[in-house]
This record gives sequence, C-alpha cells and structure tokens, in this order.
Amino acid sequence: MRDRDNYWLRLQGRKTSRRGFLAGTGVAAAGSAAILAGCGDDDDDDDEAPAATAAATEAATEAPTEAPTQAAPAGPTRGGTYRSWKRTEDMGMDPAVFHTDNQEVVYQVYNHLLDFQVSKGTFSMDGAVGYEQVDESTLVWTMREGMQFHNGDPVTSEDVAFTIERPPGLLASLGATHVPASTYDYFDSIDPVDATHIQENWVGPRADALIHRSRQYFGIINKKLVLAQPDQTGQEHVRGMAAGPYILSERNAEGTHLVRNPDYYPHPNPDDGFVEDGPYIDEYDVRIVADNVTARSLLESGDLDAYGTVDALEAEGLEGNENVAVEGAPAGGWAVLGFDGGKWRDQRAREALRKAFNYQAFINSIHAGNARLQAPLTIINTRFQRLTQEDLAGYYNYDPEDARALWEAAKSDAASRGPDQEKYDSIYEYVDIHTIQGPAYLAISDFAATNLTEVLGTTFEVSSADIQTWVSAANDNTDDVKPWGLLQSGTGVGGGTDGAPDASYLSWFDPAQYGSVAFNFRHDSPHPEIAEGSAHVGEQMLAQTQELDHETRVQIITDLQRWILDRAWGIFTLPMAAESYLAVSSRLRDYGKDDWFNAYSGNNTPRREAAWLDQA
Amino acid sequence: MTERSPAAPLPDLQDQGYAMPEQERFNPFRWALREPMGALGVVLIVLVVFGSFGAPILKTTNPRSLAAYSGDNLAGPSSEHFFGTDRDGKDVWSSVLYGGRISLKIGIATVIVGTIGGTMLALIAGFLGGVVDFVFSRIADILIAFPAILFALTLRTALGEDLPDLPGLPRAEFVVVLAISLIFLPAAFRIMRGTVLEQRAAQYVESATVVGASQLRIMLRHILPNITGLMIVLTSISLPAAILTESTLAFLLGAGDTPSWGAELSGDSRTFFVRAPWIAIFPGAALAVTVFAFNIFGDSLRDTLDPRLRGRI
Repeated sequence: MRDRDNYWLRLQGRKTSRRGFLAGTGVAAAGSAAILAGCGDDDDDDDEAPAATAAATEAATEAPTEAPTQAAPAGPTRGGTYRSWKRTEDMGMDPAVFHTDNQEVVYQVYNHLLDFQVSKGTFSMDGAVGYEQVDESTLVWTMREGMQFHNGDPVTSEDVAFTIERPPGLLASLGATHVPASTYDYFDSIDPVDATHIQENWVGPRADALIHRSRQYFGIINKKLVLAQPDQTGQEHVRGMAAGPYILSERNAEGTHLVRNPDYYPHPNPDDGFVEDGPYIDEYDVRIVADNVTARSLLESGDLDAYGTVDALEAEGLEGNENVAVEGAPAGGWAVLGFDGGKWRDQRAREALRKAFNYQAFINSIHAGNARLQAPLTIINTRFQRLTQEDLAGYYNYDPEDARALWEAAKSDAASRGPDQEKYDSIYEYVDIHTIQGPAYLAISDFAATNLTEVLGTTFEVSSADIQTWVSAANDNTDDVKPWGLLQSGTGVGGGTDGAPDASYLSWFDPAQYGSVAFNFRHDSPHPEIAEGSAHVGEQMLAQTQELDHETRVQIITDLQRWILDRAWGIFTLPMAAESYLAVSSRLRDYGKDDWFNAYSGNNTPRREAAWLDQA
Repeated sequence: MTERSPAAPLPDLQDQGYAMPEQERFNPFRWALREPMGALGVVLIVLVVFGSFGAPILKTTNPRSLAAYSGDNLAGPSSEHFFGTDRDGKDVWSSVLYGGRISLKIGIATVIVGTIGGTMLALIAGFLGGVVDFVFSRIADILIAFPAILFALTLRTALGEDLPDLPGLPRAEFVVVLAISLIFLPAAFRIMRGTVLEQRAAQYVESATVVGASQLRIMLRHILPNITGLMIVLTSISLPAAILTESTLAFLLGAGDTPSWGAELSGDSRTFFVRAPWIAIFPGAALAVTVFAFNIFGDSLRDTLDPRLRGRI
C-alpha cells in the first residue's frame, strides 16, 4: 500500500473538510485488512470527531463554508417553491444514460455518494459517510445507514455497487450514453463487501475517481426496480428508483415538479452544501420555456428563482430590478468551434482557421472588450493549468495573410487528391458552422462565419438547431465525416469545471471521450495522421489520470496542451468572458454561487440542500 | 376529315374608315393627383429600394463584414451611428439598409414564383378543365389547408440542407423563397383560376377557337392578356404579405448571418429592448413603412387597373 490517503485529499492540503479528513484518516487507521473483511470502522459515528487532531480541527475550522448572505430563519419560512426553467423536455431520466434537460431530477431526486465543492476543493459526504483508498487500485466506500428509496425500499450496498458498475452495460445495450468511458474504464470489479461497504477494484490507479463518483451519472439507483423495467434503465422514472431529497411528482410537456421526500435521511454534522435538517426548499417547479427572453421576463417579474448566466451587458440591464439579484461569479465558460476530424485532417487548414480568427474584434464585440484566451484545459482549473495568457497569445494570433496562404496550400493539395476523397475535402468549398438556437450562440457563430469567410475566401455559413437535435448531430457517426463542418458549442460565459482535468474540456480532445464521439479525432480515423495523433492524445490522457504525483501530472497535462496547440488539434477554443454573472431571484439565499457553474447547476436548480428562499 | 383552312387575318378596322377611340396616354403627374396615396407609396418604395440597394454609398458598413463589428456595443443613435449599434457593436443603420435587400429580394422572388406560377397553373387548369383542373385544384386545396406559417417553417427546416445555391439566390434565401412561394402559389391559383374560367366562356375565346387558334395560343395570346391586370394587382397585394412572412420566418428561426428585418427584431432586440430600444424600433419601422408603401401602392394600382373601381376614390 503506497498511499492510504487519496490523490485529491493530498492535493487539497489544508482545505480538507472535516468529514473528508475523518473518512480518510479514521477509516485508514482501522487497517485495510479489517476493512476488506468488512469489519472496519464504518465511520458513521457522526456525533464527535475523537480522532481529530489539532491540525484537523484547525482544518475543519478553516474549511471555507459559504456563509449565507443572511442566516436561514427557523420555521416554515425556509420552505416554499423554487421556480426554475429549462428549454426542452428531457430525453429520459436515467442519470447514467442522458443528462440533457433532466439535471433537476438527476441532482435533486437522486442522491450520490458524495459531492465535490470545486471552488474549495473539498468533498462533501452524502450517501457515503466515508471512503478509504486502500491502495492505488482499491477504494472502499462506507455507506450512510438508514437511506431508503422513495418507495420505502432500503438502499443496500448492492444498489450502490450496481449504480457504479452500470455504465459499461448500458453502453453495450443502448449503444451510447452520455457517460464518458474515462469515468469507468478502469473498473475491474465492484463488490458489496457487507451491508454498508462497497469495494471498487481497479485495473490501475485513477487520480480522479472520487470526482467521478460525485458526477451526475452515479446517482444511486434501485437495482431491483431498474432491472424490472423493460429496458432495464431508469429512463421512464418510477417512484422508488431514487433516494434523494425530492420525489418526482410530475413530469410532462410543461416541465417537472419535485416535492420534498418526507423520509429523507438526515445529515448529522453536515459537510458544506448539506444541512442537518435539510433540504430547506419544499418543492421545485421546473417549467419548459423555449426562449431566453421569456425566461428573463419571468425572472424580472418575480416568477422565476434562477435565470442563469448573463453577460456584462445583460447584467447592467437587470440592475435595479427589485425581483432580481445579479451577482458576479467566478468567470468560467467555454466557446469552441470543434473540427470534424474527418474533414479537418490537414493541420494547415486547422492552423489557417486559428490564424484567420480576429480575436480582438471577437472580444470587443462578443465580450464587450473583456475576455481572456482559453486553453485546451480550461484556464479556470488553476490547480492544473500552467499555461499563461502570454503562452496562449503565442498560439492565438490573428494573421490573415498567413492564414490565407495556409488555407490555399491545403486547398491546393486537396484538389489534387481526386473525387474519391471529395467528402473529406468539402471544407474548402463550404463549411457549415452548426450551433444551438439562441442569441448568444448565433452571435458567436455569425461572427465566426463572417470572419472566416472574409479571410479564407471560402463560404462559412451558420445552421442552428434545438439542443437535442444539435446533440444528435454532434454524435452522428453514421459516416466517417460529420453532417457539419464546425460544431459550435458554449457561449464563453458561465460554465465551469468539475475539477478533474479530463472533464475540464480536455475531454473534448480525448479519443476515449468526446474527441472521438463528437469530433472524429479517433483511433480508427481513415486519415493516418488523425489516427496516430488520437492515439497519442489517448495515451497522454490516460497517463495524466493515472499519475498520482501532482507535479508530474501537471507536467503531462501541460505537455499535452502544447502538443494540441502546436497542431491546432481537435477543437478551436475561443476567448471566454473575463467576468460571469448570475441572475437569480432576490429571495434566493446560500445557493452556492461559487460552484453554480461547476459540475452543472441542474437546470438552474442549485445542487445544494442548504439553499433557501427568503420569503419575508 | 376535312382540313381546316388557316384563319384569315382580321381586317384593319381603321383602314376601313372606323374611328378608334384615342388611347389615353399615362400621365404620372395626373395619376399622382388622382391617387395621392398611391403616389406616396411609390415615393416610399423608391426610397426603400434605393436605400437597400444603394446601401454601400449611404455611410454604411456591410453587416456581413468583419469591419461591421465596431466594438461599440449598444451605443445610442449619433452622427457616427445614425440608428445606434446593436449588442455586437454592429451599426443598426447599416443593418436596416442591408436588411431591406433580403426582404425585398425574397418578397419579389416569392411573388414572382407564387403569383406568376399560380397564374400559369390556373391558366392551364382553368382552360383545359377536366382531370387536370381537378388534380391541380385538389393539390391547391391541400396546400391551402396547412397553416401558412407552420407550413413555411416546416418547409424551411426540411428543405434547408438539400437545396442548391442559385445565381443571385444562395441556398439560405432560396429555401425561404420556396417555402413562402408554396404558401402564395395555391392562393394565387385559386383566384386566377376563377378568372380564367370566366374568360374561357367569353366570346373572344369562342371566336378564336372557331378560327382555329391552338389551345396554347388562346391561353397565351388571348386569355393571359385579359387576366394580366388582375395578376398585377394580386402581385402588388401579395408583395407586402410576402415581406411580412419572410420577416416572420426570420424572427422565428433567425436568418443566419444574413441581415434581415425580421431577424433584427428577434433575439437581442427583445433582450435589450428597454436598454437599447433603437435595436428594435428602426428595423420594425423600416418593415412597417415598406409594407405600408406596398399596400397603398397596391390599392391604388387596383383602383387604376380595375375599370369597375376607376374613379371611385
């Protein structure tokens, strides 16, 4: 056993939460042999922390807990109905299949083993009360006792083991899920050890396994009930599938409605985000509102509790409205133009695009002059990002003449390749920039189309679709070229990171994740250079996530980023806003604005049981 | 079978001493005095057309150029930007003028395809009658049964990817023209078919048939000139409706990176209407003025060309 503590605990240092500390050290002290035999300390004594040292006490004291802007009052005023919105209906409710427009259910109806507070770098225990990293490839979970599903079934260790081991089976049976393979491809076996312990055995070390478990895919699900469904999934939600704080009471074309689970388990000595007698909010009402302007009007009139992200110009317009609170939040976000690796095989073409892009004009017009250059790994993931803005400026420089020369050279070679290669070389005649319907997306795509058409002399046009159609187009692998030329995603405002580097946009490049599924940068590409490059990226992605020494890992990631930037590989990252703003109702309190953008905020519902509504 | 002798040319009546009434020469000034609203319509249409197609010489920046992104976002009207700037820093004056191009172009193209196409089909169906008339009429009935905007939205979405670029009409515009034309075509067909049926029973058609004129000749040389007046009136009335439909589609679906009045009224105009009302007001006013101009011109044209209404107003 090399390390008993976990990669993330060591990385967090003094930011270790009390619960995390107890889990990591208290359980470890009991000895791995005892744990494996199922006789270890179950660590669910939540009354005191007898093992806590002075340092631990200090750490717990200093662990930053988001202070409510106003203390939650006692009594019924904590309750009320939280009103939110989403654009379209869900594509199913199973957390391990899709996470498009169903996050309010995935996060509020389902519970997870733990949650990760990205801004603080701390884990908050939820369905688990502890875990032990027995060795580099063995993790043992200790479940919270007394949990039950919404139909009264007890949550067993078998259910938790089933929850964790489901994705590969779903992938095989459904053909595709939204669960990235990198979150489970290291599993060897997952076994319930006893009534409250589950052991994960991996084929090798995985630094981010804990973060993976906090992700939406691993919402604890009722094994018996799921296996009784015709498709053996939770896509058609049945009461009793989940054990979270809310029960799905209504789901139709108008939206969803959640009511408080009367039998929800308590969180004694809760970690950040949880409260002992929570959740405070009684009900969630999530309406389908097709367009942003209508949703914004609802917020302004006091009929919505969270609108979501706004840019600086919109934020100015909302100031002064007594129903609205606009708060600055950590800047995040991504906006990208993803290449179709089937067509953008020539590095010169990709570089031409990068040099053709007028960054300053983009920043001035789209981000009102206040933006930063984005990197393959998001620049907001500061624990892993070592590239500076100066480094990035060396890659993202506007040079229209050089761009045109590179483009023409690539085009000339394409012309000599012959008609059988035509579908791979169509970008030199016409490029469809495919985006999501919405003013911000269209503004970015329109800018790109205008800019690139003007500089490169090829027609770039914008097409847009609702998000579900867009997702289908992104994942359309019926041919080895995509139905689009460039896939535009994100607005560069809002958005965040779940802390793990592989999910902080590096997943867009990873052939084990979106790099292959969405962007055709895959091992089996018909173009040797793309296949070879994908293999390299895949190896480095694996290497970084298996590396438990942080500095070594950061070096691998930095090298990988430079490799990507040198080749203009995969996706073209656009500048992101330097400021982000959240527009919420003025009655919303303690909603966790610092992590609102991180790891999803669930269709504008806070993944935070401490959130409450001031109804005074 | 007796061979039909070729029709003898009609004698020139004037040669035989008959006095023909002197044809009144069109005097635009007299027409303007008689139809002041029509004249106003003409003036406005000329201004709109000149503004749209003469945009490059009217202190504008092409909204589809990189230079259009001024970086001066949501600036109010000024001597630099007559109509202010939008969310992306684009000059609204330029967007309004260039946006008129697409509205006019699509409006005119739509009316040509819809009205002229509808008239031609009506000519064929109304004149030939029988199965042809039945089939054409039922197809028109089916097309008319669809809700117009929904039909156009569906067509635009369904056909968007599969159409070619035409000279002067890129795919994105072609699909809109096709979608709106298919709304106007059956309506024009229904109106013109009734007139064709009326004309077919007229004596001059009977006379032409008796003298051995071919069906094609009767349709094109005899009936068509007699329904042209109605076709022109129909065109003038349809044009503002077509422009409005185009704007509606652009409002609902966006117009991509092509400036369009309808698209200008969508998206950011709604988001920033309170803070920067000029984003919505000027494109909206341009649309309203254009539709108003074509409407009053169409009314006057109808009054002028329809003898039954002449002199009433």
